[in-house]
Amino acid sequence: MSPLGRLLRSRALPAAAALGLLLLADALFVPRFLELQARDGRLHGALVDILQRGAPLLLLALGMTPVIGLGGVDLSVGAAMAFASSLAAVLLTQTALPEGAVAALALASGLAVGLSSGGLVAFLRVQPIVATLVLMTAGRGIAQLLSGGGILAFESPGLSSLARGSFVGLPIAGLLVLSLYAATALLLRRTTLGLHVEAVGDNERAARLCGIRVGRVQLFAYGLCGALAALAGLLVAADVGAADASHVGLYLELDAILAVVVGGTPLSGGRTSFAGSLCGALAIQALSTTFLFCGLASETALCVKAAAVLLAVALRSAAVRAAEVRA
Amino acid sequence: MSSGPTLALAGITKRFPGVVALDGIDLDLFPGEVHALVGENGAGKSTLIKILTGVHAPDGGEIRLDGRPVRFADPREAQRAGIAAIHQEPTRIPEMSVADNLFLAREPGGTFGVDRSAMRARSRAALARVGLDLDVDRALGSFPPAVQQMVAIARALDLDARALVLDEPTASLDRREAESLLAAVSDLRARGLAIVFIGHRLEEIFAIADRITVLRNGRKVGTFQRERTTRLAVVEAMLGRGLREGRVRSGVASGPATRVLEARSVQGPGLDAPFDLDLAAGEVLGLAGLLGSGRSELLRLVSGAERRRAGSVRVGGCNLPPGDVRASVDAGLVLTPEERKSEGIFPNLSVRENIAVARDRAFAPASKVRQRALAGEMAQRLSIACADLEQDAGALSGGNQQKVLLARWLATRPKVLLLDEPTRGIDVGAKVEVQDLVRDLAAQGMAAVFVSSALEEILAVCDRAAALHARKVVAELSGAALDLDALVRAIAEGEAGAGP
Repeated sequence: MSPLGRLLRSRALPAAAALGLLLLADALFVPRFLELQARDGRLHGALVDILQRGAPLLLLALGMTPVIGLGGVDLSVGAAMAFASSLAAVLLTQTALPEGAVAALALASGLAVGLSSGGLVAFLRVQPIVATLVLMTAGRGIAQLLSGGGILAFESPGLSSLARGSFVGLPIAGLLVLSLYAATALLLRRTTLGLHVEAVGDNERAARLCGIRVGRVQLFAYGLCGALAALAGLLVAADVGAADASHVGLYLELDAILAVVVGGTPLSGGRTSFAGSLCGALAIQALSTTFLFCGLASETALCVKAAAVLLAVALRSAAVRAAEVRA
Repeated sequence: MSSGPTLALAGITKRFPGVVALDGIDLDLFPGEVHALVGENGAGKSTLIKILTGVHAPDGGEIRLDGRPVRFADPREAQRAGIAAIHQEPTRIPEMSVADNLFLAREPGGTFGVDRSAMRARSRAALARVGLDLDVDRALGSFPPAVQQMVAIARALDLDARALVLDEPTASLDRREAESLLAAVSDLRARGLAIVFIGHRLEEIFAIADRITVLRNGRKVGTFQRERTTRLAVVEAMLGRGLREGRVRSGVASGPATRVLEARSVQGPGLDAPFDLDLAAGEVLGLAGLLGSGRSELLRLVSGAERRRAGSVRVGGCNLPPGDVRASVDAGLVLTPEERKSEGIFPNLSVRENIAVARDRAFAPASKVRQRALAGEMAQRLSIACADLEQDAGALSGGNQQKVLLARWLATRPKVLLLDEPTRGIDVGAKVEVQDLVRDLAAQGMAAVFVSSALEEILAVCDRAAALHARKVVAELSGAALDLDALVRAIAEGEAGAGP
């Protein structure tokens, strides 16, 4: 197949096209949108903003990709964000643990949430949507218990520089997320793991008979998803210097699922596209940033977002139909 | 009631793209008769049933109901004409009550929606006709499967069915339940119903049927009077004789070969007696038996796809833990399942991925280039016909899918291949290719267990054969004792084969 043909058949294409069109429209109609300014040794502008503000959503979409590729879904990621950020806030304000240890414990809490969902799915054969609904409810509940129901302010220079700092002019959070995308994609594409994920998603019975340890693959995917969600929670809390158990990550799981599906990973599983998830999440964030930039009311923004998603999904479906006609 | 047949089929023919599913089938069904329909998979039983019940329209031939030609446009018309089909897994809704299931989509009306009390009364009456007395408000799913079958029959009778088609009604029942269902069927016969009974268990067929019609490869082989035939004759008709192109295999092991597979007293779900299995390098063991005789179950227990309850399986001297497919694969013991589509192929993954998927453990390095090289080599070696290695495997023909499954396992360099009906549902050319491949692999020192419904195929491919009957291994035949007669006898009657 020619490189052009491969590009045209890529699953990530509709999401990439949506992102490209959106940025093009911004460039044409929104004054100064693409403008970048260097101030205090770092770049400022809408594009940088998309990368920085979008970091949590990008992380969730990254973790969600293998889970959906398995034919599952993880609704608990928003709650895992709240849990991890509250835990970090409590540890920072009430113990003398070093920041590194706090961050590690917070990530471990997300991993635990993910492994719990994964365990329910893999060993008790609970449907993913139900299993993660349980963790979604429990996770946020525990987060609120931990923080005593209020907003916990904390000080953490290390975490704060992770969330807000910059490196060679670019936001560290954004760079971190992009390198995690690269690392995860490498891990799944350059080892058999990615194929095993897709095989389980495509035909679980056949995967078992092939000797694939389906339970372990599921545990891995949900565990990774939970840990990445915890990192997203840390970034959000560190950005504002406080953990708000009731609001951190609220409904963000839905945006993440949207990003993954728009990105070309079918909800039925069997295929994954990390590039697609990246473009999908960036496009969703770019849309939000555009609304902010234009001063659109958030109610209107939601409706425009819905319309945009509809368009992207329709594009995807047209692409799928065309591929079927060719086949 | 007239003395003619309730239902008569004459010269029914049905073609699907590329295959003739039914070729001039004649069949008649009298009131007060149980007419059994038997044949191996692909014989045409289900197509015939679908034509009888209006799901398919025949391409040729005629259906006469009480002597008048009829055409059914859809299942509803067939039902209205008095033909009801009870399927193995009927469309019942286990969460709904018995009464709801009986009157689904035809609930008696009242002033406010459904008249529940009328429905209950009519349900009780309908159940009484089949000798059941149930709490009609309880969920259908809370009753045992046999009762659920009877409820389905009660519904059919309440719809004034005169001809009942029972499609493997006992398949999911245990022995006692099956017996009570058979008693009920014989009761319905006494009341003048015309019954078509499809089944695999010859014991049941011979216990219940008045006549037995055998189908094979879309043709009717013959109709037998139960009291004037034997199981042997029926099995011969099902599996086909006259196809003796002579043994190809010498059946003589060449020198002392190393034993690669050793299963001892293996027991587990689906088999009624523990079995042993020995296999030497370079040997092909045929496994013969009718559908439901436990062939697939045996392979699944050996391979670890199903967890064995007792016994041991050793491959190349190393003990395999029960129910662990990965350990079996690592030891060199692999299974291609009978259900190729639902348990074998990954339809949306590419041919390359389908072939490479089992070779490496998780987290092992993978490279597209190496996978492509592997898949390319395999495609050439097994002559897999695909446009492109990146093509979805789901789009391949059955024969090519089977070759992809074989390629998947050959890539793991196995010692023992367990092949469950590897040539079922694939075209003749591919069939021969697969058979030749198994012989080639054996010549290279691989051992294989080859399950097939076609006895001539077992004779052509295998060095030895084991026969299963009623979920037990009943005979092992090799050398001079391995011939068609002995095999048929063992399969049909569960007798140990003709000894030396």
